[in-house]
Amino acid sequence: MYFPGCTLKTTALNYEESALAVARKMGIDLIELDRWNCCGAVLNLAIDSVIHHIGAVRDLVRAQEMGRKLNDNRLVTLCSMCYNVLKRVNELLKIDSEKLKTINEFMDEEENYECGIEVLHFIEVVRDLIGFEKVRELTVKPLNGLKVAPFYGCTLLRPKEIGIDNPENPTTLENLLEAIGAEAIKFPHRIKCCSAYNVVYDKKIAVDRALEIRKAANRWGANVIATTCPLCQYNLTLPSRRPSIPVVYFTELMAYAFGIENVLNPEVRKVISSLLGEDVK
Amino acid sequence: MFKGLAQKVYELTGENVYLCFQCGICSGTCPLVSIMDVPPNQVVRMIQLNMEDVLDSNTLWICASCYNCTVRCPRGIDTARVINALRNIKMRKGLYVVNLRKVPEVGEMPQIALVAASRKLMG
Repeated sequence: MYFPGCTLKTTALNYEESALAVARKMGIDLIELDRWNCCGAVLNLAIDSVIHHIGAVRDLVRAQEMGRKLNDNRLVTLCSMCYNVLKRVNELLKIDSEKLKTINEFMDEEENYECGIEVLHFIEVVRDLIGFEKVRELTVKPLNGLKVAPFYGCTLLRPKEIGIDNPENPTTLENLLEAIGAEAIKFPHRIKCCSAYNVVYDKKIAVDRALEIRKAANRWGANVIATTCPLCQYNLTLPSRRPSIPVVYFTELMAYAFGIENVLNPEVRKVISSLLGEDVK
Repeated sequence: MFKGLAQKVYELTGENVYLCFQCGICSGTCPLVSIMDVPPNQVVRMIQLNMEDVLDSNTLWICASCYNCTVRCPRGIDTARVINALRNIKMRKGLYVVNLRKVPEVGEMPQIALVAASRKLMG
């Protein structure tokens, strides 16, 4: 099952389309959840807050209903923020039976949530269920010579209880990029914050952060930054001073390497081809 | 168990701010510390000392909860959660800083930015 979330349907359409195509190529069918709603995007950390988790719980209930029909309990997300919220709410309710009871009683129009859903990020599916060996086999057009700066952002790795990898020294994206023939550069800013929603509060904060990250990527010799989060993508491409460096989703690079570049947005496709020194058809 | 702000923070987060011994790694690792008026380690110190001025610092609104401080704190304090608690104290009094009507590029921004900002900054 697959939970898209709001942004994947609007500003990050490229991400969704490339991920779905890549998944099909690898033999996974991502079935979109029926009637999903907003997950909440950020988790309220106050321990007395309950109502803030309702959005995410409703999505988990939807997954529970659909999972019964499909005989599957895995819910895959693409957006890192959705991953963070759904996973943390799920883990919280597993250990906090009192909150679970309150929420279940509040949602009297829904069935009770039974905590049986497993929340995964797409990159975990690629790493654990498919394996990088298979990715290497499927790669028909290795991205030779492309220097990619992997950018994890925050919510995929932290807090460490729910992170997909070591929060200080993650390797998943690097291994994936190597499997599709690209070179993952050493990039000290890969686990740094892009300043997230500060862009709404004060745009300058986000522009400065993005500039620092882009400068670092440039200094370490990257041609392109690969990200996993639609908000990082937006912030990192905010117009500002040079160096400008293209920012793409990791699934777009995968789609290109798998030879299904026709699913890509023409602009992104052009960027990747020109970086590889190929003629644009 | 504690007094004043520290007790409030404890009630909201379950975190004991008196564990902090001011090593400063939270501020050292914070990506946005350069624009905060009170760095995270001082926020924790001010809570220990029950200095209510801390509630007026811009740190509360700049912190994006990236959890760099949380994963690195050697005393196991969830610093991002502590700052979130201060934000909650403010917001539960109806004080917040963002007015979405005044954001010029509201139409182009990804929804997650708007949803996250409104939840984080408006309660």
